[in-house]
Amino acid sequence: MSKFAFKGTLAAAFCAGIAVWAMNGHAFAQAATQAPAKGGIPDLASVDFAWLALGADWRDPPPGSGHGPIKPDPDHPFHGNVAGEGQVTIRIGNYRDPVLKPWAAAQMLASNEEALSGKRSVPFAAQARCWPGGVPGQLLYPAEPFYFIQTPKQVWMIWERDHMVRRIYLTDKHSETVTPSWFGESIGHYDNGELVVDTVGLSTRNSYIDNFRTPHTEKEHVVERFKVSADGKTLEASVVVDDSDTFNEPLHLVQRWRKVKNPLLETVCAENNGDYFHQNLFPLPEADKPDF
Amino acid sequence: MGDLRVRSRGGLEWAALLAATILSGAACAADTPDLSGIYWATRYNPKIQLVDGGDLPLTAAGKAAYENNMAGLKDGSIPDNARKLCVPDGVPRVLANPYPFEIVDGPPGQTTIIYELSHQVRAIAMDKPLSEKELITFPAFNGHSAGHFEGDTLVVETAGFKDKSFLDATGAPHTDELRTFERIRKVSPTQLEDVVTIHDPEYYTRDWQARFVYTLRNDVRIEDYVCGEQHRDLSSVAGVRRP
Repeated sequence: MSKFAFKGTLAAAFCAGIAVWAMNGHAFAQAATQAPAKGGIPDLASVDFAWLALGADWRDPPPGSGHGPIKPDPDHPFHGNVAGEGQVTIRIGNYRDPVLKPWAAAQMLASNEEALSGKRSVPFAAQARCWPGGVPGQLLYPAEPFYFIQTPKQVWMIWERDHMVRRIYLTDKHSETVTPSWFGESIGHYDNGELVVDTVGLSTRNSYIDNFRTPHTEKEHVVERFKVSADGKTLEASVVVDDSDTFNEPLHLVQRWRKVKNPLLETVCAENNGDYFHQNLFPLPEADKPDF
Repeated sequence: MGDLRVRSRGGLEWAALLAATILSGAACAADTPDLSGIYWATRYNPKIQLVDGGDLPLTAAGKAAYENNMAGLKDGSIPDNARKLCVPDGVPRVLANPYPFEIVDGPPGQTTIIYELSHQVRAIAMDKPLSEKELITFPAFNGHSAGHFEGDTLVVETAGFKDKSFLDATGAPHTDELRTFERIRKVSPTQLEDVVTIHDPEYYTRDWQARFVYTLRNDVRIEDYVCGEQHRDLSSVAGVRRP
């Protein structure tokens, strides 16, 4: 340990000792009663753990919740990398799902045909090609964990994958005008141990609800509720996507993560991510001239 | 030896120290000044400026690498992937960038610096030594950082760099043995200073410093950044020349 680090640790330990010593009986009792609930704030952030998604597709909501996620086209069942023996397939979404407005169904069909024809042998998946996943699509990135930072006024979600960042302002009102952007404007609050996030102002270019390329409009409104399981080992998000220009009723989606002990590392998506097998992969974000 | 002297303090001395600390009130709080907030440079220099002026103190190998980088950037044979593909800039180039960034005090045990430019994130492990295993196993554009406070100054040591980045936009070179030492502090209620020392003996004949100053701008929000898109107006930052 360096001299400076040792000094810092010693100072921190000394100050912590002072703090404990200085607590009178009342203060100590108050801390003990507040600690388990932490004021209704879930324990999402730490340097000691992160959250690793359990899959890249939305799970069904509890029965009776409403319309669930868009599923694979029954004519083209999906068989993923971790689905056991069998030929891995690409994701072809069920464009016939009656929840889709006609324009959305037509767009999904066109995307399916592009993939099935081999024109683009690997369909677009935002984070595989270094684009932001949008809201709520970013929650589906499976291979690397994500991290929270919680402060009294703001929450950050940081994905190790290409260090994507979402910001949640802990306030009760959206801005009067919101310019559409990849992650929109998210406001949030804590409710009975859950982090509730309300997001509007989501742009549409290369932005999808899921890996079946379900589109949305700028009218999209997303409410996410993040909750840690009682044993602290699992994080679950219950998500409602409301976009009456795209869906005939809101979509109810669920994602889960397991707690993993991973430090936050730098993973750079655009590094060594070329189209080495000539699959006509979707282009990476690239500047044809320097920004400045 | 110093440790032994500390341990030999008598009970009365400890009591006096304890009382003085409590009476001074802010002694412990003063150990961790609040640097959190959004900051924005007011000036941009594509070429890194040495604190003591003059040219980069390049070794012969460093001079050859710099000339190779400059020629490659000019004729396109070496791409500037920080601007073309928006890979991280690396330290100290990221310190010069003309976009706002935020310093976040958290999660506990970490100070996090998040840049708008290419949504770069630097996780600074507080009061812990750099992990030599990580430095070797996971080299990174922005390296691995460890920090601690010395009075009002956040001191950050960074190592474990990939050698694929430049120290500035002109192609100033570095090796993967680069180590940087930053001293970050408020120089006024609204101004933040970052003085960085560059240590890379293969390419530089001596350690040298550069200084960056930022203005506190909690009135702005950090925006999404995607390579190749139109981004925020940078006309408030002197020296920015958009092509």
